Amino acid sequence: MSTAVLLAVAQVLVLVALLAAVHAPLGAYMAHVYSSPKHLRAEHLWYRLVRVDPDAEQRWTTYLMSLLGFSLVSVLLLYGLLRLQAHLPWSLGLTGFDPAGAWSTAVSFTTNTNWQWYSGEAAAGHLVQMAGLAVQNFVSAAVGMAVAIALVRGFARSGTDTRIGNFWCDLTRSVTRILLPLSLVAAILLMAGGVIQNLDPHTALTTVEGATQQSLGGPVASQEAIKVLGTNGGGFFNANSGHPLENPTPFTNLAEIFLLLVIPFTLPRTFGILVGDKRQGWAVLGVMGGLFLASLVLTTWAELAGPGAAPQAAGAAMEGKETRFGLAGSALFAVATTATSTGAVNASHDSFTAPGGGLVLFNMLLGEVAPGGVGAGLYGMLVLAVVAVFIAGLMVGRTPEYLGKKIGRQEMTLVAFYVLTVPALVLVGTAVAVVVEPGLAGIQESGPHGLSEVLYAYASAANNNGSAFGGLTSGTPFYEVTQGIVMLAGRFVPIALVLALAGRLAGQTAVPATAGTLPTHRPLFAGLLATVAIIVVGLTFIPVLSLGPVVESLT
Amino acid sequence: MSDLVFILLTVVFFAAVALVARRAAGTESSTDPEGRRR
Repeated sequence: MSTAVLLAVAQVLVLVALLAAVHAPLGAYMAHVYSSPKHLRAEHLWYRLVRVDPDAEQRWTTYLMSLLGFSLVSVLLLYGLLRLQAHLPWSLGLTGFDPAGAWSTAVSFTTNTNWQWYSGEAAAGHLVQMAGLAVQNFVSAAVGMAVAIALVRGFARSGTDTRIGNFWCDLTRSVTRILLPLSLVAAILLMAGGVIQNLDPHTALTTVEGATQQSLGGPVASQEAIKVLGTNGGGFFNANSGHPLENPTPFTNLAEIFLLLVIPFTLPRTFGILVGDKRQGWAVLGVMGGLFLASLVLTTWAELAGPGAAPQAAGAAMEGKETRFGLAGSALFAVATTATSTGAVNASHDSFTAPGGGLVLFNMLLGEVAPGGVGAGLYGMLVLAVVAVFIAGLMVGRTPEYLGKKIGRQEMTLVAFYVLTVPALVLVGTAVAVVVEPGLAGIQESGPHGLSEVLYAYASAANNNGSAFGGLTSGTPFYEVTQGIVMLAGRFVPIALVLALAGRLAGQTAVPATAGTLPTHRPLFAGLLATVAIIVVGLTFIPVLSLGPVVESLT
Repeated sequence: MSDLVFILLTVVFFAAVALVARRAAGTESSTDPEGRRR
């Protein structure tokens, strides 16, 4: 076995051990957070400020209106901050963002996408980073977690007149009790690993050769912690987690991968506890883990077997990868960032082999459910579980039920819209970009690789991932506006559908399991769920994948 | 494009989602769990 393979295996084993160690305690803690009747004093102050009653149970429509109102204000506030940067302190002398760029960035961070058309160190001052982008890193992640918990309540509750919790309470607790404490620990860990944390401006230094070099400064560790923990992905620097001040060593690299996987892989435990059957959580976790490992093995293999004289001499396709992390660290990061909705990168995905690039693209097209973004991954997988029980019901002639809730016509209508929304956004966005002049002008490569770049960009936007394949000039009004619209629709339309589904489920009276009920905690159902996830994606995206990465692999 | 265009675009998007959701909720309240109109 080569050194690269040994390193890859050892790294995965360490990662799995770490995730396993925190799975039960963190999962139980999060279940407690979302079910405790007590509020912290600081939370009370916030509730008083926004004038909400945190104990009032909301119907799904009220929950959704609260979420939409909060997100609308978030976009507008961040937009204003970015536009006015030049007049604000800690701007480091930088100008404000132009209108299209500011809107794209505001939408991007509010939707948990964090697509960056700009270079962080050259465009965003410390105030924008701390008071704008970092704040959205916290609250956009919390919004995803709140929606996931609302759906879980829909399954767990019975006959509640569509009441699914309180958005403000779920949002606040996600921030104060989960994301903030974990981010604090993570930031200290990253600082210990060498990530910088200061408020210094970028300073010009003269090197011993007489050349001038910029010494970069900024509150990077604190930003980095929530960037990965909240599956956000927006880098402080343009090189993102490939930058030595943002991700200096293999230790910080593994720590960042752990942080971006920890909440998505732990939420199934929280789900199992809240629905009163931990086995249901194990089944969901098994599907997430199985799909993740399959993608990781295939991507690592594709990069190890990179064709051409240079990759074979180097032992792997090393173009665009950091030698500090090697192939194993780059492949694992790439899979982890695209299988969640993170979008941080430590290598150039554009330089991956055709099948390797196709696989990271496929991770996003899968709907980011293995394990997906914080909250978004869980609710995405639960929607697919509803599809799976519906298909199983059709196959064996049973009434579809999941966790005691009947899956009827209206539930399936919501689920069908959910499943179709993101593929429609990806395919229509890509189709428009490859036929209109402003879209074609941004494509730097010709042929199938150029198509992959555009497809990747819209897949990343619609799934709120945020990573870029590279090779696409996206800092133009056409891409900023079309991707912004795709990001908004890819985030809030599925959320509206999930909350509507949660409301309908919560309003149902749970039916007890009988001998005719399909067990949804067994490996058979987990296998069916994984198959549904792959087939739903496969049928939708096979044609465009064939024209992009598949054709490129064959040439 | 000016600031007003982007602010309006944002407001219109969120208003549209809210409006469609409210209409769907109105339709939903008049149907039974099987989707038949009451």
